[in-house]
Amino acid sequence: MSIEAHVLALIEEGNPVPDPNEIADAPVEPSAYLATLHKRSNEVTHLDERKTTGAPTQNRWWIAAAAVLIVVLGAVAIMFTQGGDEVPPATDPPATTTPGADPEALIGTWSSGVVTVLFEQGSYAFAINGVLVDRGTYSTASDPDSVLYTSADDSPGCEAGAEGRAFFGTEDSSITISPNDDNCFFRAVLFAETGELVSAEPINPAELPTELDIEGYWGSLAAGAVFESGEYSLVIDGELVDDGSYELSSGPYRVELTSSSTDPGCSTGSYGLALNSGEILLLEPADGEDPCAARAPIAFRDLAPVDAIEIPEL
Amino acid sequence: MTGGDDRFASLYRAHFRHVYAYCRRRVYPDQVDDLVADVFMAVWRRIDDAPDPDGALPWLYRVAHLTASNHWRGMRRKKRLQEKLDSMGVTPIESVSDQVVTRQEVQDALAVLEELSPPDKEIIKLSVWEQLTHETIASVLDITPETARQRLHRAKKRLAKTYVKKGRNSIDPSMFEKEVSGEH
Repeated sequence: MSIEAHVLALIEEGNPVPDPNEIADAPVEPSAYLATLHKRSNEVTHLDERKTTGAPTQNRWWIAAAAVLIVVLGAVAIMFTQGGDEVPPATDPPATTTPGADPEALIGTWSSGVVTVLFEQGSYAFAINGVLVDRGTYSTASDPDSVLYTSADDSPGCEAGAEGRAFFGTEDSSITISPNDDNCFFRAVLFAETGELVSAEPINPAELPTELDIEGYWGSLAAGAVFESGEYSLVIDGELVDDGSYELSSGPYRVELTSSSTDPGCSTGSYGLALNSGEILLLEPADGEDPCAARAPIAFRDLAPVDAIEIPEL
Repeated sequence: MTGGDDRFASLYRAHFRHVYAYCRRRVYPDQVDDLVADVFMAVWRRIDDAPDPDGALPWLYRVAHLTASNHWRGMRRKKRLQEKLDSMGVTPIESVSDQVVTRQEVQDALAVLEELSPPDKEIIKLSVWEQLTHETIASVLDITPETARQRLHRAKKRLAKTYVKKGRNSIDPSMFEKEVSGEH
C-alpha cells in the first residue's frame, strides 16, 4: 500500500459520521422549522429596509474618498513617527557591511526614493512612493544576517501575525525582503543586489505599474478578468463567475473588489483584493478563504488579450 | 404552505441527515446545530433555485460548503485567540478529531489533514468522507470535473508528503521522494 493510500485509509477510518443513515431524524418537523425561518426572514427584511435609507451613492463616494485621504495621511504620519524623516538622501555614501556582522548592526533606514524600509527599535515599516504598505515588529532571527518580521497590518490581503524575513547581504551590501505566506504586495518585492544600500531598488522598478494600470483586460487560456470604469468581471473556463465593483485601496498597486454575487453562501458586498505587480494580477480573497469559490486565488499572466475567452452575459 | 414551503419541506426531509453529517464532519459537535440551521436558512432563501429533491444533494452540499466557509473564517479568529490563551496556560479546547477517535494513528492522520490548506482539506473530505465523484465534487465547488480531478490529485500528494514530513510514518522519507517523482 502506498503512503498516500495508507493515510487516506486512516482518514476514512476517522470519519466522524461514517454512515449518515445512523443519524436520528431531524429534531424539528419541517413545518415548525419553516415557521422559524419565516420569522427570521421578516426580521432580515426589516433590517434591509433600514439600510436603504442610508447616504446617497454620491455621498458615499465622498465618504470613501475622505476615508482614503485619512488613511494616506495616517500612513505618512506613521512614517514620520517611525523615523521616516531620517531617510538618507540618495546621494548619501553607501553603508558598509562586514561578513558575519550582527543583524542588529544593519538596522536602519533603507531607501531608494521609491521604496523605503525602516527597521528600528523593534518596529519595521515598508513604504512605496511614500505610502505605508506594511508595518509590524521584528526580532533577530536564528540565521545570521537576517531578521524575522511579523506583520501587524490587518488591512485586506495582509494578515496580522504573518511572518517574513529580511536578509542582509553581507558581501554585496544588498537587502532582500523575502516573500511571505500572505498577500501583502510589498513582500513580493525583492531588492536587487545593487552593492549600495542607499540605492536598493525593487526588481525592474520602471515596470511597476501605476494604480490606474489595473484597468483593462487581463487574461489567460483558463481565466480572464476585465477591470473598467470601476466595474470588474471575472471569467473562468468561459463562464462569468464573479463580478462587482472595485476601487483603489490605501496602498499602491492595490484594488479592493466588492462582489455583487448573490450565490448561496456568498454575501453581496464581500470583498477581495487585486494585487498588480506589473506582470501578474493576483486576485485574492481578503483572508484566503472567501466562501465564493469563484474568487479563489488566480494569477493572470500574459497581458495581451486572449480572444478565446468571451464574457457571457449575466 | 406555499409551493416554496412544500419544496423546502421535501428537501429537508430527504436530505437532513446528509447535511447534518456534512456539518458534523467539519465543526465541533456543539456547533453543528447552528451550522445546519444556517445551511437550511440559505436553502430556504434560494429555494426557487433548488433542484428537485432527488438530485438536490450536490446543490445542498454546495450551499453547506459555502455556509461552512463563513463559519471557518470565524473559527480562525477563535483559534488565534485560543493560541493566546494556550500561551497563558489556559486549557486548550479539543479538536474535532480529538473528540471522535481514539486510535493514535488515525488521530495523527487527521492532524495532518487539518494542517493542509482549507481547499485541500475540503476536497479530500468531499472525496473520502462524503465519497463524492469528481463530477459531484466539481458541482459542489463550482469548478470543472477536470479541475476537481487535478485539485484532488494534488491535495492527496500534499497530504502524503506532509504525513511523511511530520514523521507520522516509519517509511524513509527519501523513499517517498522517489515514489512521488516516479522513480523506482
